[in-house]
Parts: sequence; structure tokens; C-alpha cells
Amino acid sequence: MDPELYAILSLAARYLFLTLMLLILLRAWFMTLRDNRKARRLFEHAERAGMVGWFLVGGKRRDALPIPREGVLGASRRADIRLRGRDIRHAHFSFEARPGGLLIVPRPRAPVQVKGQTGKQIFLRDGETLQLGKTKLVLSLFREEPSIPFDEEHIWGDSVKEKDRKDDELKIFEDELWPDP
Amino acid sequence: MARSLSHHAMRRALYRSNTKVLMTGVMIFQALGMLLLALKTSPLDTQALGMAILMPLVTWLSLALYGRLFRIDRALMLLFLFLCSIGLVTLQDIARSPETPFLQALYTLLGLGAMGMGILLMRVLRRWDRYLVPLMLLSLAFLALPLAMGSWKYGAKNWIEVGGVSIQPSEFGKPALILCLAAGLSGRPRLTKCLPVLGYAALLCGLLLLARDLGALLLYFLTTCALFYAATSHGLLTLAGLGAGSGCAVAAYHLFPYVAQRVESFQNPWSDPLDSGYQIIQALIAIGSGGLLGLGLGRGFPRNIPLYHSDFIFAAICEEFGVLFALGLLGIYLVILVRGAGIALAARSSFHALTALGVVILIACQTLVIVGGNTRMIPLTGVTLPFISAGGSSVISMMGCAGLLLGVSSINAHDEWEDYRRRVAEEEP
Repeated sequence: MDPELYAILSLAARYLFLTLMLLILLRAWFMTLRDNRKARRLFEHAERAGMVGWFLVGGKRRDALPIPREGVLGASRRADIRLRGRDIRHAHFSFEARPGGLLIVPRPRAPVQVKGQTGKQIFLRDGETLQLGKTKLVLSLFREEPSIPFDEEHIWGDSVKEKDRKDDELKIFEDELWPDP
Repeated sequence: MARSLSHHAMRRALYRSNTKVLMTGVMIFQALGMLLLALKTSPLDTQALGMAILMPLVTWLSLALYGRLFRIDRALMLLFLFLCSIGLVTLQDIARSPETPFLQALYTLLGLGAMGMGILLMRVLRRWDRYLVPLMLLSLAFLALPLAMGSWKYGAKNWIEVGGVSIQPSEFGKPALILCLAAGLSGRPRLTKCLPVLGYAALLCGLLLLARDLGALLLYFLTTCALFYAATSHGLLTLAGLGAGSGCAVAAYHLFPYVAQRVESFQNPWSDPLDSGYQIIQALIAIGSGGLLGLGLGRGFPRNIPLYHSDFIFAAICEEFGVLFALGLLGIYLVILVRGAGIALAARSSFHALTALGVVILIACQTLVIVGGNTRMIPLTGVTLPFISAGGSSVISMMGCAGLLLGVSSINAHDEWEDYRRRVAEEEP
């Protein structure tokens, strides 16, 4: 190509490239804000989000402590499950969800027993009782009863979006909760 | 009191924003950039023409494949591919030999494979603590290889030759460092439990110091400090670590002549404009020449800058595309940062959260270090601009890190679906 013609094309293309950059940047930015907002709302309104079950204090359902997938149980404010009691230390034990139960790792000199047994690591099964000094905790895991299959297409595709556009109740609800910026 | 959402509204909230407009913009940029470069020479540059067709195709295919297989954050993947595209378009223009952009395209394809492996690793890895010690030993051995059998290149001994191909082990050490730190610091460990993994990071830094790879050393150090603070919230200890690092930097300035030379050429490059200050002066001239809109693709003189295709590619982009475009480029990195931080915050386990955060911090630090060096805001270090600079090791390892981040996003999507499913099951009579 003629160098002068190329120079004109190249100079004109600067504006196009800048426009494309701005388009991509602004689109990505607003998408990010919207997606982060959706994720936050979803997490707030899914009561069991991130939880695997309950610790029933003294075996009573009314005193139930939600259990995240992993964390620390203790009397401290920084503990993931805060439980106050005479025998409960600031950080009493750390735990991690495993299939069928919890893996408990007691902190040094923290009293933790399951069926009278203690150790460096204890696997607590669903329904078993954890003894922390005088405090008893009963593990109750959520029952996994899938009623609908995981629909990958409809999460990331447009087919359900098309269907939901006709859903008046959904549209009104959405406008109330997520007004456009 | 907050109203609870119906499960229809929850399902709606599961959808992330449509990426079609974003993808179209990226594909147009790829096609137009390469087409313009194809027209630059006479006869037509067939390599550029081929890339004008293949790049959008690969973008579309890889997004469709990974998006369907793994349910990743598509917008994030598009941003990574956009950065790679900017690098390829720039290299196609400024490289002396057509082999450089061709090899970079090949490495980017390999990087897509590494990305897939990173995503798969996050999806299948359950017991990460089991692999912690082997991974630490492997990465230490790999980083020690250049000291044993490497060669000096650009003042550092951080390269090894394998079958005629140069590999930089410190680049591949980055994802290993992130995974080891995430595994070792997850679950809010006590301080004594953190010591092994911190000792590992210190050993890595020591090996890099011996190899004189100061850029990688800085990145490893900053990533370790940031992840330590994120995992333990020990502000004082983190500050103490940063202080110790600063002290080591001051000691290095006094003990090692090459460090002192770097700092002096940063402070006053014009004191030695033809030798130590030449590189930074040429970069500043290039950035200034471009102005706001740039000289135009194919009309700059980036080859005046030493290492214009790797360490100073940002200056070359400023010269040809303009400062406004370069600021937009930094904005893309910022969006990646914000999006990645959102993924880290939404992760349900500390290992995944720390992995995502580690990748984000690494990308952010590396970008700040190299852009700061190019613009003479900080002394220059030999690191690459993530996803853009020429270099197989760099692009493959960064794509692998991107794969780790996308893998965590995939797990988050799965967890959100589980929440929705549970909610529907509760509401059923």
C-alpha cells in the first residue's frame, strides 16, 4: 500500500481503536458493578449460603449455630462460630466440612471430646455430639435432596432469559430491587 | 428488614451480564488491528492477514469451550484475551522479525491450554494440603535450576535452555507460590503454622536474589506479604515484614553495585544518557512523542528503545496508540482487579479465596512495577507487562494464573446454583 495512504488509514484508525478501548472498558466496568451487586444480593438472600449445617447447642433446635464450610469456633469475636461459655476458649477448635461430617482440629489444651474420645483430629459425623467441657453440641448437617437438576444451559445461555421476559411478577420485583444505575 | 427474594428472582440473579457486546468489541479490535498491519507492507503481510482471521476465531472458540465446560466468568476471560490481543497486535507491528509475533501467538495458544489446566486444577483439587510439600520442593528445585545450569542474560541468571527453548523458571514459580501460600495460610492458621510456608517464600526470594532477578523477587515478596495479611489479619507483623524488606532493599543498594546503578539511573537518567540512562530516556521520549492519541499503528519508532518488545512494550503502546489508549489499558487491568477481588470475596473456602486474591495481587503488582518503571516513577526492574509483553514463559504462566482465578469463579457459580437449588427445595410443598 502507498505509505501516504497507509498513514491516513493509520491516523484515522487511532480514533477507532480508542473508541473500541473505551467501549470495552466501560462495558466491562458496568458489567462488573452489576455482577458484583447480583452476587452480593444472592448471597444475602440465600439463607443457607455458604453453610453446611447447624450446631445444636445442648441438642436444642432453638439454639442453633450455623456452620460455614471451614473456620474456627471459639469465644472470640473473630471466631467464625462464636460460642460463649466457661469452658470455651477464644479459639477452641478449627473445623472443615468433609463429606458426611466435620473434621475438627482442637487447639492446644482446649477440651474437645466425641464419644469420650479426644485427639489431634476428630471426625464428627452427622448427628453425633461434641463435648466441649460442660457444653454439648450436636451436629446437624443439611440434607442434600436435589429436586431439580443443575441446568448449565439456562445459567449462562439466553433461553431462560427469553422465557422470563414474559414474567410480569419477576420484572416488577427486579425493578424494585435492582434499579439501573 | 430486607424482603426475601422469590426463587424466580434468585434464578434471575444467577445470570451474569451478557458478554456478546464485549466479545464483539474484542474481536473487532483483533481483526481491524491485524488487517491494518497486513496493509502496511506491499505485498500484503499474509501472517497478519491470517491472524486477523484466526484471532477472533480462537477468541470465540475458547470462550465457547471454557464457558460451556466450566461455567467460568466469561467477561474476565474476554479481558485476558483482549490484553493478549493488544500484545499480539503491537508485536506484529514493532517486532524486527515476523517470527516474534508468530511465536507469541503460539505461546498464547499454549497459554490457553495452561488456562484450561488451571481451571481444571481448581475444579478437581479437594485436598490441597496433601500436595503442599511436594509442590514446595518442586518449585524450589525448579527455581534453583538456573543457578546450576543457567546462563547470564540481561544481568540476571534466571534462564535455562531446554531443547533450544529458553525458559524462565521464576515465571512458573509464580502460580506455584500462590498455590502454596493459599494452601499453607488457609483456614486461619496460628502463627506457628504459617512459618513453613513463609520460610518457603523466603527461600524462593533468596534464590531469586542469588540469580539477581530483582523484579521477580519484588513480586514474590509483595505477594507473600499481601496474602499473609489477608489470611491472618496480622497488621503489625505484615508491616514488620514490609519494613524488613525495605531494609534489605537499602542494604542491597549499599552492597550490590548493580542495584545502586539502577537507582542512580532512575534518579537522573540524563547523567549517562548513552549508557545506563539510554533505555529510560528513549522510553520517555516515545511516550511523549505519542501524545494523547498516538502516532498511529505502524508509524512509531519503538525500536529505538532497548527491549521494546518485552520490558518497554508499554512505552511502545503509548507511542503508537496514545496515552489515552494506554490509560484505558490500565483501566482494563483495574477491572480485572475489581472482578477478581469480587471472585475472591464470593469464594466459600479460604483456600479458593486466597488463590483468587493471590492471582489478583500478582497481576496488580506486576503491572504497577513495570508501568512505574517505564514512566520513571520507580526504578526499573526486569518484569513483563502481564499478558502483553513478548515472552513464552511469561504469557504461559500468567495464563495459568488466570486459569486459577477463572477456576475459582467456576466454583462460585456452582455454589450459587446449589444455594438456589436448596432454596427451591425448601419452598416446594
